Amino acid sequence: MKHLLQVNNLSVSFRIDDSVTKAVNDVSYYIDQGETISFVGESGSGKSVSQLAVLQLISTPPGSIDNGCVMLEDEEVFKYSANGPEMRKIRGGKIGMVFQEPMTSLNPVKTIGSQLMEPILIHTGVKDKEARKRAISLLSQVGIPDAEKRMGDYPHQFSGGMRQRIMVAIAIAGNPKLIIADEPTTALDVTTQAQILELLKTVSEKNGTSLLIVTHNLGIVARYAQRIYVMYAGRIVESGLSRDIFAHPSHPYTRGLLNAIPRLDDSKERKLQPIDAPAKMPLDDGKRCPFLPRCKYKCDMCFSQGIPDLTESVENGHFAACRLSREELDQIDKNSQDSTRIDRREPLKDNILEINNLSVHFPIKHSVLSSKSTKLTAVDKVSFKVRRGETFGLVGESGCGKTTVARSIVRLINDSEGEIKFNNLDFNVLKSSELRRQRHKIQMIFQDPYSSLDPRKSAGSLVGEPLKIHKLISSGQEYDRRVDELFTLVGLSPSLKNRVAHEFSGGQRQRLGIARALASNPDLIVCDEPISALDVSIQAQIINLLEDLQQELGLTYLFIAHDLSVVKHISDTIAVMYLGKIVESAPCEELYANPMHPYTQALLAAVPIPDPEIELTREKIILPGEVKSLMNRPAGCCFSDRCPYTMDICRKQVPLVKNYGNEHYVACHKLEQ
Amino acid sequence: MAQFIIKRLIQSVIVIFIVSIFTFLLTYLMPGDPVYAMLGGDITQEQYDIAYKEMGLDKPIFIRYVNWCGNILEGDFGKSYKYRMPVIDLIKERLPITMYFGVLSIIISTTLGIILGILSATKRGKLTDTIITLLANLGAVMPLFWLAVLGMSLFAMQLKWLPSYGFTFPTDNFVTSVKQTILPLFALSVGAIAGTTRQMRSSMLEVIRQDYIRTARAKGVKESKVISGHALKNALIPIVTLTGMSFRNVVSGSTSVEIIFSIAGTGQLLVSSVLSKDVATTQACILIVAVVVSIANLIVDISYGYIDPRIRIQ
Repeated sequence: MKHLLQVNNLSVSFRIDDSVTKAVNDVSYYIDQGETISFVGESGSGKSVSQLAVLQLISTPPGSIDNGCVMLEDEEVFKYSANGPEMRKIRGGKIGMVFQEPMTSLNPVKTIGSQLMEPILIHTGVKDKEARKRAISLLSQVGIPDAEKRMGDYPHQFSGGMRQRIMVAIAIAGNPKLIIADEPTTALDVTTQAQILELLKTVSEKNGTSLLIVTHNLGIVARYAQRIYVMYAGRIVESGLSRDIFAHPSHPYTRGLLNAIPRLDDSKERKLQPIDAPAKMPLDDGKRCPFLPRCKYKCDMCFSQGIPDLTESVENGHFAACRLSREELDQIDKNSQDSTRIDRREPLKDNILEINNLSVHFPIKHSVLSSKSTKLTAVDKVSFKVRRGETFGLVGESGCGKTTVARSIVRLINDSEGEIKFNNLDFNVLKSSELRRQRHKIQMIFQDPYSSLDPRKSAGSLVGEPLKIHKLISSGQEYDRRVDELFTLVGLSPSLKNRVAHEFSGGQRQRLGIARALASNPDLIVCDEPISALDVSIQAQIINLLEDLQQELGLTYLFIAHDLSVVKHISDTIAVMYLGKIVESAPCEELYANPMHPYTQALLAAVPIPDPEIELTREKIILPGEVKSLMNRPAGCCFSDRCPYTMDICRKQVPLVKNYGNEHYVACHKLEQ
Repeated sequence: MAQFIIKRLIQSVIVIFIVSIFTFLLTYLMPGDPVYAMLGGDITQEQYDIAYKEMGLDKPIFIRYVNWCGNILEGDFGKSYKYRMPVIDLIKERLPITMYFGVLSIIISTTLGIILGILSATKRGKLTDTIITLLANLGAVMPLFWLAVLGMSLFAMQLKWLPSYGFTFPTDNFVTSVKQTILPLFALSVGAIAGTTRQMRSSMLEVIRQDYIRTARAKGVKESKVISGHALKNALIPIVTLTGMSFRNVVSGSTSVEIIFSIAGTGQLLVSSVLSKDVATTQACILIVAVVVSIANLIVDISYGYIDPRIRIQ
């Protein structure tokens, strides 16, 4: 049978200064008409570069396609020059692309109408008027309301989700046979992610288009892909049918990935198993298996023999590049002594933190000349309690106010209203001298380990600074000892003290951030999306570290995240925020077993579970519309404009938070009836 | 957009107002008597008394400022004691000459700079790029007065192809005018061409690696269209700033070039009036520069808004 696209032995390298990096190494794959396949891997695995290389979209120099043969139907693609007319006919005409960043993938100075009409004019041979008509119909097809009116708008007038819809419209405008979506939803919120993926699926099914999704999210793969290619360090290490790979992963890397991620349907006791990562990854020398330094299954053969070829295993079409067979891997797994359960400490009964009616307003000035200003309410009368020793998860999509809550608790935002009671002291009325004395008891871990560490300070002084500020040490010796202790505590060698931030990897930097937070012996640590900037296999390390530290030091965490699987794994109690309000809060198991608020239900349904069997039978709720901006919050219940159960009262009256037993608090009119 | 322009316009008016106050105070900030400052030292007591009255020095300073502004709005900048004629006539005579060079130089340097910059960015790493970058760096480091002297010595003194001084409008005598224009214009433009080229090259390179350029290519857009249709407008923003800043030269001129080639323009006028403490002329020159710079900034801001829709909204 002939494939729609067949790629053979593709190799791509980048030459920067004098070093050559092999980004893609001898990669072969195919996709058939109407099929949905997926490329999975972490950053730098070469999954996106492979796709760009097929379209000859890699900038040369520094990149170069060293080898490979790409057959698109009957055409040999690499025969064509990169910017020649034949290649341009393929781009957009036969293969449409959707890119990762909707914020930067559209030209900011051109109207979306003209950007959408461009591929129609190029590929379908219609004239201006007809092209405009088609563009409008495409826009409504991808779900842009008032399509005709919005043709003259610029990209910045659309939200991220809307822009990605426009990108999809552009990708399908030239009636391509294949759509390549390169991390199409990584930058988007969970509910928007579900919308975009469903959209891609519907348009490709409707037009009989093949769909190739590049992603690092195994859940998405399980939900949508029929076949999978797993890439690591520029090579395909495993490929096969989606259900085979999830049921019987046959490469150590695939196994590692699946064990490293928390799942929505996990039991809370399962300990995540990160993939080991040496501080400095040795370069791929082309002689040994590239995964060898991180592999826990490695044997003598791996060292003595060259790179293993992709070999077919039990099922048809299931390939893995590993010296060991699946049975041998299973055997090693069975014998391993790694603990797979976490013992959790019971949280104490007393409250370390009590938030009562916390509100944060930001003034918005309308113009330079007028003194009038309106208030933007980012957080609206939020109340919750955190028990000593527990992990309190605060979940919500971007813009829901969760970070603002975190910042007002540590008083990085100063003028908030309401009570912030920490150890029974109200932070909002404390004098600044008293506040400073209390402050070291609350510390914060920030989202981006790259920008939250001063690039010019040594790691040791970054970690040790709080010791000096809060005068927690009496001598230089004690300082040194304490810094060493902190380094060891977070799993870093104290010998790294004199390095600066950019010499560390992302995961190590986040460890530094944690060490800095621990320096002042805090009772409460506010973790603001501490793992969302990290690769999947590294996320598990940080989560495990946080959990171990909690066991060891009896810490309390306020854990802020948008990833519901992670929050479920780590939290004891969870609160869900929407547009500045807490709509539901409950103990973890209770919330996930019995979500009551329609928004929580939709959020949970939107998270894909990395198991195709489960995904087949799951009910999918796709929320309509988008998160409203805080400026025009709906009157009444803030969720009323997207809720499937909206009644009259929801649009008029703000629902009150009520207890439905088991510490389960929900603010919803429907439940009251 | 209208609101945006009005806001910028108000800002410009404020700037001009503040500059006018300082310019007005110049008369009184100069050491010595303001009457001597305005008329020079060579006057009799009667002339002094008349001038004292005429200048309104017996009236409060606020009234004097209002009168001064009123006169200027009517086109009366006072009298230059050095040139013994009304300043306005002096300006009328000098300004067109300087503007002639300034406008030509801006047109040439912007067009050439943009073209060379695009060429060098799109051929990055190739021979074309190397040559253009080398020349641009050379042009940027060469001082203008040195270029002027060098050009004069080569083409006027040794080869005797071009005249070494003077200025004629093309309407008066076209051939002479072109000959006299070439050398000063060359000296004036080389630096600006080089600057624009370098800026254009770097901003083009910056734009080319943006995601939306990749999107355009992935649509199958022709490479020449990718540059002209998608990249150019985005890359132009820094160029607009640069050109706006050099607009000042249209009225204030380049003093060194005007002096070297004996061109009677405003640049020369400003320097000589400052040196000879010709207050009225100095005031006029400063005010004109201030107004033109404000207008140039206004135009720059409006063109930002035209190029980039995101600025329009703010």
